[in-house]
Amino acid sequence: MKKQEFLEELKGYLKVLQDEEQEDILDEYSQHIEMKKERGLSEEEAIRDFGPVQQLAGEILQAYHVKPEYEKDREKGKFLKMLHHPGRGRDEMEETGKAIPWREWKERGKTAIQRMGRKGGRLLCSLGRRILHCLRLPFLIVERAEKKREERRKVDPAQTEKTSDYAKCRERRMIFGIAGFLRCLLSGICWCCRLGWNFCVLIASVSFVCLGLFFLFLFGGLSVLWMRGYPLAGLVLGCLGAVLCFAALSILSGTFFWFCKREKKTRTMGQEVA
Amino acid sequence: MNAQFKKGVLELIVLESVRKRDMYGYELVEEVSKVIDVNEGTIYPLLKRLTNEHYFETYLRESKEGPPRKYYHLTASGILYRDSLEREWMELQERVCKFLEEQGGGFE
Repeated sequence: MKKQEFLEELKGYLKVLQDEEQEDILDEYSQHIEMKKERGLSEEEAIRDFGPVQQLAGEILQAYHVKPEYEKDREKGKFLKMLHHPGRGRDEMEETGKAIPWREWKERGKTAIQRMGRKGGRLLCSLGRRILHCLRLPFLIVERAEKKREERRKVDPAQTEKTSDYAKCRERRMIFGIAGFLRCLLSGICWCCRLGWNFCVLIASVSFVCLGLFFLFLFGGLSVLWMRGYPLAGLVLGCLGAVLCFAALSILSGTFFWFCKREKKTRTMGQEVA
Repeated sequence: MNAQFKKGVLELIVLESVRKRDMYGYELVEEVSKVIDVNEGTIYPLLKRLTNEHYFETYLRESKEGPPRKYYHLTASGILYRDSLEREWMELQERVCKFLEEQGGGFE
């Protein structure tokens, strides 16, 4: 075996390690071979002294507390492919001259299943990301529209000023009058009202969530008992219903929270105009 | 010689070799080969492991011929570890000798 071949093969077994470490190890071995050559040995002889490459790699990996079978296990993962092309498996059996023992088949099956699980997980993740993106779409559209509006405002402020000039004059007069004081008072009261309302909604939604969780817990407990054979089917169904109901209520109260803020804002603005 | 014997005592020999002076890989392999006949490839993993466990420190030093060499230096904890290994080795050797003598005496 040539030096380059040896180093390539060794590198193949050490893929688990960091690149720097790999380089470090390969440097050490190539230096060793070079020195042996200086002593008058041929490359082949120098490499033969190392023994089988796989065994050597196993010992190196042990120094890092890595399982030496790691690379072998990865190879076993190719079992999935072999299942789809059974001819290959037969070839291998002929090559080795003996049937693959049952334990190894089992191992191969295990790694194949693990691989499938990993792939499935990745698929689910990408699906979830896509769904989230779809859900975000309307918000993104609204955001973009608002940005555009702002840009338009920046582009031609003169136009908007002209139209609101008359209104502004009136408003200024009102601010300096008694109405200004009244307006301040009204907005203060409104602010207090909004705070109170939001607080109430917050408490309601939190309590709904708590109740929902409680019923979820009850649902779990009762379903276990139901499985054991107790006649609790009705109660379990009721609990499920309660969970769904409280989830819906908590979501609804959440929307109230936001809507209220906007409504109040528009209302205060309306009062200002009036 | 029994491969397991060699494997067990290799660590002590390597540590002892480096204790006297800092050495680079190939030099160390030669030094160890003087004592026991061992596969050259297996010393590098051992050096790696002992370095990872902070018994060795490494540094690069230029050499006249070829690329810079990685030298191994025994750390304080390496010295302690060597001493404990030596103590264990002496104790084991003593016990085994004593046991063999006793058995041999029985036969005579």
